[in-house]
Amino acid sequence: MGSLSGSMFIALGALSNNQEALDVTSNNIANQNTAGYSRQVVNFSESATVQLGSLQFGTGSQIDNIQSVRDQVLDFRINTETQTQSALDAYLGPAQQIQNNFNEASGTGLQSAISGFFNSFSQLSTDPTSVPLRQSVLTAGQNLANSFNSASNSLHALQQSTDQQIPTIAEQVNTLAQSVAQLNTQISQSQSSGQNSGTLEDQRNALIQKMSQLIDVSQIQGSDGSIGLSTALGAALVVGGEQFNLQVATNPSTGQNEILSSTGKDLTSSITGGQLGGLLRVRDQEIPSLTGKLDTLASGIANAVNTTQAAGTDLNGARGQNFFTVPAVTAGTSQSISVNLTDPSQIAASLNGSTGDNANALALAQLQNQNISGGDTPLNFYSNTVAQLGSDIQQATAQSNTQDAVVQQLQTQRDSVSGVSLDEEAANLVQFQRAYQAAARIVNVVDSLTQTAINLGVGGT
Amino acid sequence: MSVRFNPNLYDNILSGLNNNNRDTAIAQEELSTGRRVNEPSDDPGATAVAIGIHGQTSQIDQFTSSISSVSGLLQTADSTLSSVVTSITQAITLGVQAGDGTLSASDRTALSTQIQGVSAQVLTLANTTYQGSYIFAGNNSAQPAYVADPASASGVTYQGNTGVNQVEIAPGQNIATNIPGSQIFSNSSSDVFAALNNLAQAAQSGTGIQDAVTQLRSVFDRIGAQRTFYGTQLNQLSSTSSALSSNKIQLASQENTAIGIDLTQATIDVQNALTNRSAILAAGGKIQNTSLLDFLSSSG
Repeated sequence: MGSLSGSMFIALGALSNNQEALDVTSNNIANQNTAGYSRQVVNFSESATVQLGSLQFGTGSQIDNIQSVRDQVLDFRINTETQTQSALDAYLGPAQQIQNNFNEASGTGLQSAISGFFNSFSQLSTDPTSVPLRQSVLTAGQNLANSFNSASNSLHALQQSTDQQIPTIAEQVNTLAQSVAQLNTQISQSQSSGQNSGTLEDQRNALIQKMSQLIDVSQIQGSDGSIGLSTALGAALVVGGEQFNLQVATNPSTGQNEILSSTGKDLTSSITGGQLGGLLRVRDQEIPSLTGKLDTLASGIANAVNTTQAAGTDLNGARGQNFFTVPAVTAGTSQSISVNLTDPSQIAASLNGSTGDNANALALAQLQNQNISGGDTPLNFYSNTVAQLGSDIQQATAQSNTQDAVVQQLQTQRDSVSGVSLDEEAANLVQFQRAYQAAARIVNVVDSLTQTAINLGVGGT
Repeated sequence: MSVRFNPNLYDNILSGLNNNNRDTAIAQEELSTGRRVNEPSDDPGATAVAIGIHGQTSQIDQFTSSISSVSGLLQTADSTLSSVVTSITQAITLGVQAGDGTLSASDRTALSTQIQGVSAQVLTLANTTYQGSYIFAGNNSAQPAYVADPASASGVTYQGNTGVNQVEIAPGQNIATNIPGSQIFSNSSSDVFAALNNLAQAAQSGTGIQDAVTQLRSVFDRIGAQRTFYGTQLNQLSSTSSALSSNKIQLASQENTAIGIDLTQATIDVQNALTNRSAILAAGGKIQNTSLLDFLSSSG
């Protein structure tokens, strides 16, 4: 047989439990628009029963825990895909700028300088002694050299500005890693004392997602609730409550920034994810490859023109001097190429020595159809180079669009698990409210019963 | 419990709108530039084709410009030779007159002087310049082709060389732009100056006039034959020039195929993007206007 105070006790428990459940509902609604928030649910369970004689009586309900509803695997995957997405976006920004230098569709790129240069020889061949025509050859040569210089310089400037962003990003990674390490400590403490660590985990996940936008991050779930983080080559960033700093050093031969692990291992060439991965791809792959091709092109043209010049005679009857000044090695040619000739008369248009002979001018003009640049004609070599650049960017753009969709989809999946639904919360609200009202009603009934019990034996009221 | 759906539909709406904005921007850029390919990454293959076409087009422009320069030179040479032919015809007429046995010595001297005048005229014509270059001096064109030289049998010396200049007028097609004067005027078997000299002397002396006239006639034939060279070259220039123009039109149409827009398609793309946008916005406006809360509060 139960007791009135037992019922009262059960009702009081129900009141406070439902109030707590209402708190959680209220918190869910409040955080409906909080990024990274995982909805929380209250897990009720029956309290232990009491044996009275042969009967078992329930003693109400208790709240086991307040649980953040999350799918750890989804969180991990979102972070992984975010790394790829950020790397592509960080690559595409500067790559688009590079592309603007080679905007050949509108006919303003290097092609017109190359064609213009060789065509000026062709024009000279129609009147090899003409000083104005010779002057236009020199001008076209200068224009070509300037086009190479400015293309190379703008690539170089872009490389530097990319490089300058690297230390800041490494610093951000370190700051984030420090916060994650602190949260790890707090989370394992609160988990070991049985408290709800959902909010802390939400924060930690938001930080890891931010870090995933910056660099490669691998996550390992620890048994104490902590998450270990490592980056390229398995270099540790966070282990439990401990954080390991990435270091930035200057490469003595290139003067560019390198990323080192806390133990001094060079990670630069292994970082492919996040903003850092994208920027490094631009700095260490796209720009050097493009500069190398411009060098091959410039050096091919310059050397062939110089050789042909040397075979001819200029207007003064002298053997043709070098048309272009170029370095002895191919590397750096596009940056430093310049016109060596100072006077229009120095163009060696003649082959047989007569000033009116145009055979060498014709030979110079026809160099444009010969395989003088990297085994191809200058224009073919150049158009292949631009096509290669275009297809790199096209591919990255397509990947980026796909990656956006993947992340978006995962985010949707995550939200379908962890997002706050107002319908659901409204239903919970009503449910808990009614339960609270019912419990309050029980208190009311027990009160009146107690009143009746107290008045037992007092004369008829 | 049933499968839970993502309660935050606005994220999807937003990314839909973002994609739609991107599509609209691309379609509008295509319409405004008239090009489907505006950056190498839009279509790398087509960009490479376009670069090749631009290169070919600018070469064709160059060939056209070369043709107009060269045809000026060839026309000058042609009309000069036509004058030379006229002069020689005149000299032949004078020679035939001098052959008339009834003429007095003084009449023949007068004719001889006229023939010498023709010779001087031909010398001037042989030293014709075009833009400062002597056009019959081979490619040693800075000096007059012929100078008077009393020591020489013909009375002149050829200062030019046998150089022939070639100019490229179409891809891989070169055309010779001159014939050395030595080949036209002072060939070993046919020398116009020697022939005129002989005729002048024969007219003066009254002997061998017939032979001298015959010699001059053969020179006349030779120069006439040489003149056809210039005519042939000019014909070739004009036919090449029209071939180049049609070539250029072809290239322009190839370029348009490679990187130009299909106007109908582009217009439809813009229209689709805009319609799509309205649809997304309409859907976005309707979503989540209501939740369970609305019904709970209205039912009290």
